[in-house]
Amino acid sequence: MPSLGATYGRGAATMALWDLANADCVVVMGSNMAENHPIAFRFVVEAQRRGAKVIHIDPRFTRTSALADIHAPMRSGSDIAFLGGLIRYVIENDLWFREFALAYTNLDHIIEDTYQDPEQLDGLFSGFDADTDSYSADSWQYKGKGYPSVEADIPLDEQGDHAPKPDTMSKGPPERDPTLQHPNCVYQIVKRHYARYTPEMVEQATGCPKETFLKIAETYAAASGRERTTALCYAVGWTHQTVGVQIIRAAALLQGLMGNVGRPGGGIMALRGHTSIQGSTDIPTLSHLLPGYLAQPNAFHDHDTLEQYLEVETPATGWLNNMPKYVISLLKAWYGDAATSENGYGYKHLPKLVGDVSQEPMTLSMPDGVVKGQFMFGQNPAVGAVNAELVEEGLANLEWLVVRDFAMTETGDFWRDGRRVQKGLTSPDRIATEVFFMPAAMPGEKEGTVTNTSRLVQWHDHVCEAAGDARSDLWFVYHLGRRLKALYADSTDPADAAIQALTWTYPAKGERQEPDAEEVLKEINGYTVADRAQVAKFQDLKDDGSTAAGCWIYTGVYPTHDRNQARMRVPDGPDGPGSHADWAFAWPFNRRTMYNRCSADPEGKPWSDRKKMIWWDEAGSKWTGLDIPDFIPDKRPDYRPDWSKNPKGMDAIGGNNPFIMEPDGLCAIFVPTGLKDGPLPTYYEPLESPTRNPFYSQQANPTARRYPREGNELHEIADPRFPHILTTYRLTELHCGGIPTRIMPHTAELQPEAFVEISPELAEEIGVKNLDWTVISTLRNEIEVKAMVTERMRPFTINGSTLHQIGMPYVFGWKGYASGAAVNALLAITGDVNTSIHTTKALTCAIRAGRLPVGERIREMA
Amino acid sequence: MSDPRLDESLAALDRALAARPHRDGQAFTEATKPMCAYRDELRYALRKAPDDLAKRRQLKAANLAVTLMLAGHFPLGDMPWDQIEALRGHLEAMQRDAAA
Repeated sequence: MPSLGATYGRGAATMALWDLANADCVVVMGSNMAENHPIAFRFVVEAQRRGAKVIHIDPRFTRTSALADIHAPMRSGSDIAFLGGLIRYVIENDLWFREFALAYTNLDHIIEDTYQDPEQLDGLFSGFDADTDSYSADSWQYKGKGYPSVEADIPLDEQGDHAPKPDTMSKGPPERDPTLQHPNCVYQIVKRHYARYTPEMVEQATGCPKETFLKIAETYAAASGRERTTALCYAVGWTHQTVGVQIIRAAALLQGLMGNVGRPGGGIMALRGHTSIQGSTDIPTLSHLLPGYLAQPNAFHDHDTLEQYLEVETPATGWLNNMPKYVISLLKAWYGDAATSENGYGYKHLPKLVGDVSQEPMTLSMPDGVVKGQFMFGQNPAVGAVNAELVEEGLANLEWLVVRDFAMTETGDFWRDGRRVQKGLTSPDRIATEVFFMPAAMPGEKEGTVTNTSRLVQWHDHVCEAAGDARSDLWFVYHLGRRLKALYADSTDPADAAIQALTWTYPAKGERQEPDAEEVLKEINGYTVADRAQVAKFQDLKDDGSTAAGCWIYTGVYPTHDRNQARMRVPDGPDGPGSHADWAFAWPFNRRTMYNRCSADPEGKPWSDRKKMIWWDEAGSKWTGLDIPDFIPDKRPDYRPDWSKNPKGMDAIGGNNPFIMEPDGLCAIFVPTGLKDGPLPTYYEPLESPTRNPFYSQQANPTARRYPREGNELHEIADPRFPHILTTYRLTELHCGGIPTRIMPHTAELQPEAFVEISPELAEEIGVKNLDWTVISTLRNEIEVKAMVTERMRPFTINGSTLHQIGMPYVFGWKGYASGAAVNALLAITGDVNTSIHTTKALTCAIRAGRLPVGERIREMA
Repeated sequence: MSDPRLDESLAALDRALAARPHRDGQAFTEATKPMCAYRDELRYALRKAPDDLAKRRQLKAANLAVTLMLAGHFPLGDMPWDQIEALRGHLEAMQRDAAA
């Protein structure tokens, strides 16, 4: 989540799930939380029981809406118009938390004179290059001072002419105007930027009635400030858009203005898509990061040696100035004795990036022959990935495919009965891909951790043996690595040195030789090399090769040989602090609320007794309170850097600067560096939209990733052939790609068949009744599915015209008991420029009554 | 005589370079496909004759070419035009090597 990272310093939920119960208002947007995060939603229900208002802003009326105090219908893809309207509302009505925002954000900073806003450039920021559809961030910088970003995928040496080196912030703060009168101070820029996001414009763009919008704005503002806090929850309803990062940015900006960060019941709850997605970005399956959100080296940057890489990537100021300790400890964990100071701790073994090798580019590369083999761990892209038929085309061009899952998936069987085979576009005898299906153990059949949506690392035990040949993923990866090491043991090719150097000595247990997952977690936690003693906290990691740690932010999860903190299950009592510090482990260092220095005023006193969390204990000369301080424990609130000494690291962060991961310790209301599509969120229509952008001439995000190729065509703006808005989602009863739940009779029977939700008005327009067949089409594909005619879907009036939206779960396929059309076959591959994340939430389509011709039907519906 | 797939790949790369500064994704696709086919043939040949050093050298060159084509097709940040320009020279060298 680069948006949260760029704004606050870390790309993760800022609060604990249970802290939602302390909120005075909970806004759920971009999520059907009650259905898709039902365990977490109980804390929302508890907040409501205590008197909080619950607001749901969503295109559909769902179970979340049913439990909310206010439901605001909003057209898919128009989120920034709504959030921009809220930002304008609190500024114009002077309802923002002035003392908080002035002290803890960059609201009073002066931006370069050359900065131009979409207000001046009709939807574009200054620095846009139309030839390359990209921005230079030079004019977005603080006046006369470049700002290094904490976002790892934008190397510091490429962050504009003003920031050739990451040490700019050690020379003193940028120019400020605490009166907020300077025309180019962040406050004035933000005020001008959002001036046009009036309630009337919000209604015009989103379809939400002005009165409903204003009721939400009033409720939200009234539940924010010194005495009250609001939590904002979102999920992939925001991230799966070509402006996904900027939507989250708008929320982060708003919460920063309102003082709803780092305080009880205040924060941003980034609800992750499914189990341990948070863990999979912490110790990443992401192609551009090393564990702990450290930048993957890049062949085109000044990253030739470890020394160069660290010099370029390490910010001079803020906590990340410690980055060399984390990188070198990681290399020691991976390469052990083969990592020495003389060889740069094995840095040369790390793969260097040259381009975007995330999922979408790799999917697009498969038909071209670039990718020869693929592993699928619990993923079913023939159903769950966008443009599912293009995915199958790519799979058919592989030499080998390994699928590990509980049961055979559509992906594993694509060569035999995939969509393209069933439609006669290819046949099994024309597909040479060798598919290996490896049965996977279920959660109770293996031990290990999951890291949940609020950074909570939780251990789960092995309770029974997996049947037959089913094995854990850990077993598979360990034994694969072991065999690869044996295979390359005698190689003299330098290209094989990385595998030879890799430490791979985890003890295996029992007849099945299952690796000991606790030993893996101990390595992730870290240890001192000399005596293999566990490191208790990341503050103890060193950059001299004396410590090893597989992921620095997890250090503390296994602080001693006999304490697996992730296994702890001791909740606080009714009179306890409420941080539940002995319930599992939350990174970093078991802090439950990040940036909790914000819960005290600049002098270190709680903003209010009702919302106290940590505070400065003058007698004890330390921070204390109800959570572990996310701050230097003994740094006085009145500490100020001595700029005459060019302070580095935390010496450059004042005792009143809570956002310690940022180079200046401040929340970035305006992001000078770190995002590729602008320093402020601004409204664009989705790439496929049935209407014109009512805010600017610039229709869509100019930097969004488009991948034009046959089979991946996009619809023109307001294409009359595709007049309706399509959104996709999942169901409580069927999980994501669907196989684990579609093959289970007791979950399958709860959602036995695919359906498309359409409004009664649209149903009448196209002439269908409930349960009639319909055909949904895009330029990519056509599917047939039965209609669920429901008032949960409502037409919207947008730009003066009636627009219909339809919604369809993406969890169905042609295997298992609950079957139906895979809606992802309709979607195009596009991406947010910051993350390459695809768009599933807002696109256009056509729908008509009837069925597909017999030869084009997929089996389960024939 | 050079391999026709290398010629095809180079011609497509020239189209990509001619479109500068605009990135022509289709041209990169057209450059990548024949290069991958050429690479596959080398891989299959090396499986039969692992000690063929000339083929191994050519395979490394093909891998580098595919890598740089990906960098141009799916850039992480700014388009690496300098490297793509250098790739052109690399392809010419591959043509000469294949013809030798």
